[in-house]
Amino acid sequence: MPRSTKPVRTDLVAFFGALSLFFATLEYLFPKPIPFFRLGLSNLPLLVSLGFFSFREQLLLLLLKVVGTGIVNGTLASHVFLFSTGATLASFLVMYGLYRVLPTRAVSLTGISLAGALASNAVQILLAMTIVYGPASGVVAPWYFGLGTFTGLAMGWGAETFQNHSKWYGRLRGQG
Amino acid sequence: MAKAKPYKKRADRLSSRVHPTVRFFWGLGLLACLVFAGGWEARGILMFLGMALALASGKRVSLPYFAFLIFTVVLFNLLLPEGKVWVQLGPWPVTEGAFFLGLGKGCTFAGLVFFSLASISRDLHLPGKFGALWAKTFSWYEQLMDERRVLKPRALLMSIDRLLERLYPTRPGAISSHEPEVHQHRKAATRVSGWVLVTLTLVPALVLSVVWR
Repeated sequence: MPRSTKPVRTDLVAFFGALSLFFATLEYLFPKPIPFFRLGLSNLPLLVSLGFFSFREQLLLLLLKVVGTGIVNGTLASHVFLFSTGATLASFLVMYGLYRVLPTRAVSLTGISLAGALASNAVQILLAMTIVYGPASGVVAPWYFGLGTFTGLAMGWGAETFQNHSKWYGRLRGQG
Repeated sequence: MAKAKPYKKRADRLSSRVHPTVRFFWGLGLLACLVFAGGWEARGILMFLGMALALASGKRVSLPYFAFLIFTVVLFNLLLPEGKVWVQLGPWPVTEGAFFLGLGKGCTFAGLVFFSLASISRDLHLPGKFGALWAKTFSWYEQLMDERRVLKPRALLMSIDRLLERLYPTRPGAISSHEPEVHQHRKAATRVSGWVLVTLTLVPALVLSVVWR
């Protein structure tokens, strides 16, 4: 892949990073129906910016999201940070790869989000099996993937609705 | 759907005593003691120390969440029998070794989160270009948190659009500068009471992790 020479739009990346943190905080404030269950609202900015951020900008946004969430929630020095980084990186690589490799009409943003959520879940289960709970924890994998399917579809639908109806987003893409 | 709890900041009793950078390294030291502690007893004591510090730092600590975390770690460890059999539940032997191994692990992971909650402050200064970018991001985050009440569930998309436009204008003719107001918080140096707290926690934790092996 040729290396992009376009300058990184740091202001816009920082703004999207702030949106990620904002959504992470909103999610943190809501009681969880199931322990460890996360909707993944903070992934929405990553998802909607796939269309106009370069690979470098996306990576920077990802870094801001994981480090920022670690600082704001105070989990930077715990295993939670490792889980968050692994899961976000895996889902980003899958989502970015699908978005760039497949033709636009072949897969919707909901499909991309679903693939990203499942990749994130797979990494989290692997980390849970190797670091926290041991190999026996693999028994919860089907339930976990079931929840991941639900959250992936929900986030994808949300991102697609925003992308199609937000005037702010439309103007931003027009400037891009 | 459960109602969201109001966003309420709790008092951080550590920030006025310990500088964010000292606090960060203090936390790392305590984390190392926890990780290298030998028995489940030492890890349990350190976990409770972490919980006390996390509460003192004003962070939200959900006890059911951590109880569930420890319970599930123990449960999954019990699936792999080890040591003396306590009780036989059908084909499944509940063993002493697996139980205490799980308990030690559970206390470690809960303790890691507690120490992290206590030691990571929002005022932590990150160096270099990334630090500058982080300062910008955090400033926008604070503005979003301040204005979050303008979001209306009944007209969510419209209210989100309005909020985004206000903070990051995209309309033709709108102010083109997208620089957020970055506040430089100068944090005071660590006070004597802060150093006393650091010493009174770090030294016993170190002794505990070295002696109880």
